[in-house]
Amino acid sequence: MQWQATTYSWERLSSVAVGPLLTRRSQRQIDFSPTRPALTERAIESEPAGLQAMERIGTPAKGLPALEWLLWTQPVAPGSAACRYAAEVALDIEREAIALQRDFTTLAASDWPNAELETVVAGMNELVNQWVVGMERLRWAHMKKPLRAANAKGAPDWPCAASGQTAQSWAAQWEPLRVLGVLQGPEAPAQGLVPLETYLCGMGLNPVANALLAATQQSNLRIQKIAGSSPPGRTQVLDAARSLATLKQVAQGRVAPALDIGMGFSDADGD
Amino acid sequence: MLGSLAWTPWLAGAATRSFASLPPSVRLAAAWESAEGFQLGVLAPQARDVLSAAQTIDVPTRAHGLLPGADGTMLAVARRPGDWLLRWSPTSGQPVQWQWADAGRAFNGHVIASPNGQRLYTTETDLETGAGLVGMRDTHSLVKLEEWPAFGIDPHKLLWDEADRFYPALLVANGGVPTRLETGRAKLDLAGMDSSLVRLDAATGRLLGQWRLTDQRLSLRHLAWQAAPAEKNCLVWQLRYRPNTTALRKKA
Repeated sequence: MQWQATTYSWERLSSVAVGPLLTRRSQRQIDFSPTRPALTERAIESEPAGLQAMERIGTPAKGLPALEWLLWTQPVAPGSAACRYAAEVALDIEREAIALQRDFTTLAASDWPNAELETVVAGMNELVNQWVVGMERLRWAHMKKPLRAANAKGAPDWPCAASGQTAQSWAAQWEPLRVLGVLQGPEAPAQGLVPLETYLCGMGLNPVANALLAATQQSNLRIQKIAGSSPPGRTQVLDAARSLATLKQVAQGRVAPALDIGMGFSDADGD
Repeated sequence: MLGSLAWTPWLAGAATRSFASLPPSVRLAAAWESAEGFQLGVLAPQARDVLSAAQTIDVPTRAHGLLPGADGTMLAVARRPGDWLLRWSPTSGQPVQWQWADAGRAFNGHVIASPNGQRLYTTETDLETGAGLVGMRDTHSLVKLEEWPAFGIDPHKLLWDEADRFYPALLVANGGVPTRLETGRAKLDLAGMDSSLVRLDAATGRLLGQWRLTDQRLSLRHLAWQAAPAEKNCLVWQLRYRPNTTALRKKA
């Protein structure tokens, strides 16, 4: 189904949110969560059509979570105002995706070998910082907080719960975090992406690389255990969240200092 | 140690003497990070320069501000951009009440109680616009009753100005550092920094005064009163210097 395929692609892209994802604030445009049903209902009543009309609709009533609500929680009737609004939301997501693609294409065409040192350093800083932000978002916002907040009200409000895609959503977010961190397979040196593990080894920082590899493998094991379970089991989710906390400690406590990268939001940062 | 230490009236003494010289009954509330993750709780002096945790409570993310309550409980707020406010009991060492940030809002790490104890005020941020806010809450339910603009971004510590004992005003330190909240704390263009100290009517949120420092790179964060001669109190503050280039950052 198109929503599931789009969500999967989006979560893989946005897990480590860099470049235009940040400058365009695309996470809010495409993935505002939790969605606001009351605002969505109000938006349906206003029957917006086209770009300008949708610009007047606030982000809490748009994006993939709003579309999930329209498709699963309150399934729209064909030909209804809600159905027309769902189509407008989908078009709105497409517009943002096209703009992102354009900006990423421009970014990819940058002359990196001849870029100013400060530009390269800033890019590396952003990448590593956002890698850690991605871990924390998966650990806390998407796994542990829904469990905590559910104590008083029943079932956890997992992301993509309505569509039954929670485990797939977590796996999709985890994949880029893992790939950026450690080598995946028998790729020949200097081919494909260079994960941080390889980069650290290249700097002679093997103990740090090994710590990163071990923590990543633990997280991978625990997130794989969740895959296929619906709804996710509490113990499995807590195990996965705990392993992500350990990975985050390694990332910001050992990897970032080894690479001389300042963590702008670090847990060691003052206030 | 990551968060505020609290538990007046012993705090001032604790800051200037070794822990061993404190009375054995002294307890300090604090937040910290350990191998177990983020925690807060009660520390007790064990020996000279040694504190040990007498109670620990796991918290989901890093805590920042701690506030002793009149009823013997403590409040802790998540560090910015945070999403939880916790009331806990130093007697039982257990959480009493969790309050999550309202949708579209983030806590900025500090809470203060009104002089009569009926209201709490929290510094917050609108996640949509980045605007700074002050939330007024019911002390018992922790539910937000009203929110007002902080007249700046990145509001942090709050402090009472009780120059008028019958009508105290609220001082708020607006850090003024633009950040992308959906990224955690990644800072935006520091040339746009706009830190200020504001004085608000605590009943209505009306702006009573606003002051800025001449150096735009200084970010006001923490505030306190210090007694001074001639019956005049001095407002003291903690600042963070936010250089905007790598060279200046290294120099700082």
